[in-house]
Amino acid sequence: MEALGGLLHGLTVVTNPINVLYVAVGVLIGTLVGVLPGLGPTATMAIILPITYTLSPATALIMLAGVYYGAMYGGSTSSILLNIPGEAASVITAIDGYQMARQGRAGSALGIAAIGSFVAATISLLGLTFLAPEVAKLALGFGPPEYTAITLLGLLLVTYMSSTSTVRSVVSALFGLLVGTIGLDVVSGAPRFTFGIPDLLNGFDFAIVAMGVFGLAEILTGIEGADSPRSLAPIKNVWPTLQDLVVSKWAVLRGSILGFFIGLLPGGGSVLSSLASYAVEKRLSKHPERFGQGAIEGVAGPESANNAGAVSSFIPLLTLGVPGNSVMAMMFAALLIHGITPGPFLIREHADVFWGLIASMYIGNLLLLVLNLPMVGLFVQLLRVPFTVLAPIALAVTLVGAFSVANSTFDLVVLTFFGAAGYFMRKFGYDAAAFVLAFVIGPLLERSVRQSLLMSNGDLSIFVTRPVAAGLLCVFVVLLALQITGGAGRRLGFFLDEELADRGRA
Amino acid sequence: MIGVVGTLVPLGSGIVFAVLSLRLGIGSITNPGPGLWPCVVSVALSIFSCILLIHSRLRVVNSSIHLRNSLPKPVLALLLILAYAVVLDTLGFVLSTFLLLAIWGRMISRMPWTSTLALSFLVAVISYVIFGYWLAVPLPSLNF
Repeated sequence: MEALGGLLHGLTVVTNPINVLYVAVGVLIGTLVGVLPGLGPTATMAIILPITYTLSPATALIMLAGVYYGAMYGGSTSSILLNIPGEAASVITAIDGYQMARQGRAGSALGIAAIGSFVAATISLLGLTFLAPEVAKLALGFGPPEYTAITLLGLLLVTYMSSTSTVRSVVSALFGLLVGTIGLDVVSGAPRFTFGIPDLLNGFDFAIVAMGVFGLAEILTGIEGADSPRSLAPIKNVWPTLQDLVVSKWAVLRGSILGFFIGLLPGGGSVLSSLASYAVEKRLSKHPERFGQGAIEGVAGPESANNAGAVSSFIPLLTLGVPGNSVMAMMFAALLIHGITPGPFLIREHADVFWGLIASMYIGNLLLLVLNLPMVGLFVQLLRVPFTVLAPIALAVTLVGAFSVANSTFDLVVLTFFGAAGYFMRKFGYDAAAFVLAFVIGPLLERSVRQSLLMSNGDLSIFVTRPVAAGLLCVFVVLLALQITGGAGRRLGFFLDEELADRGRA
Repeated sequence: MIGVVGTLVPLGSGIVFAVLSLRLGIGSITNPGPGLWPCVVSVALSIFSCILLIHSRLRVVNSSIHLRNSLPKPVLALLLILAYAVVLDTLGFVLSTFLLLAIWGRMISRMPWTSTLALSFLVAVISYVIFGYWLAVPLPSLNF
């Protein structure tokens, strides 16, 4: 009942015309970047983050979230029509989606992707609406030691699920934690690693770091590749046939549920959800040989799963204050910038933000269904825009955005530095997402460790005598040991084919 | 070999920052100094970079790095952006952005002159209208 009341409150927040406008702008931008290969949702959110500084917190989050789940819808379009995923979560859709397009069934593939996405997002949203308040209640009793344990475990799981080598991801995360210490020490007020540069006293601004590591680095990677002319598969109509719907209905449902649960895990989110759903559909199918040859379940399952995962990954952020992936790190930073610390108190102290965001997703999903069924043809035309044209536009927005954070050209230098860092991290196989996540969590982690030590007068046993913290740290230690010894070598190999894992990495 | 270079950077940073943290003062567990947390993190960073270094020496890393073929464009792009940061306050937003995009279009995107100039002009002016005028960002103007 509490959830329904909250949702109604959220609807009153989101039906404010300004907020409706920003939901629409968010999902439209999301669909665009989802459709256009070369710029993913994380990079886009990083680039527009400074623009949201001037908005109210609820409006800012509503728009940013719209970009994320909008991209989940749009990403399937270029996967299906061009065999080029518009964003990482749609990599797997390209396998069967493109085959369907080549056989003249592009319309069915696009249609089932949109319908599956809508159904899955709605199921996952119901889960979010009713589960989130309960999780928040559980977490109300958490103190600094529990927060320390849960954050450490979250960070480790992110590195565990990353597509690159786990030790490399741990190194990326530690590097992020280290960069996060630059600036004034919150407790003693002493400057740390500022090297006498006054601009560094407040540390690096999250938006600039994210814009560099995701936005600029993505542009730099994009300009390396030569733009080859694209041939589009013809589309007849975008409504799947009744038979398509009958064949895909279980794939959509399974994808929704699988995606919902994987999205809850740190490091889960949309990418892993789609990979897992494809593997499951292939395994359960009576004719697994059809997969790769244009099986509609291979589009319906993953596309549903990535939307469900995108929605449910909001739960850890909104209830525990732990961002589980780089997109949630962006939302986390957006909240911090507005002076709101996400966590179990969010629902009580900032009910309009919490419920406004959830309600906006119901509306956003309806808008996306309209954008992606009748209007998909318009977006398809955009696929003719080459990256050589897209790159300068994205670059100009990045530069203005970075400048506008503090109206300082110093930030442009910082942006260049982190752009280079992000580019080389990609080249050397380091996980940029783990780096950014650790960077944003770092100061809060340090604070909770120091608060715990204050509570216990410096007695480290506070982390093992409180049952919740001790349990979480136990899991942390076991996972870390497995990682170092390489015992978990294949990580998710138990349910992913090698071939699939490779495609996910590509 | 490249895999080794990639691990030396975090290893080096770990060691340097560990030393710097010690200088900041690590205090004690009951009264942590500003250097304690960075010190713990840098030591962990050094340890894991060492593990990585051993791993990458033991195994032939299947790396997808073709630095020689791909470096010029991104490096050129980074230098252009740095130059942009330097001239922005003097030349103002519209002119600097136009110049950056024009050089970018010719040298990086390798577009023909006409489309380069048209695109650079449009992007510079439209972004000025949106950000400088509509969103009221105090973008630098021409200032000799």
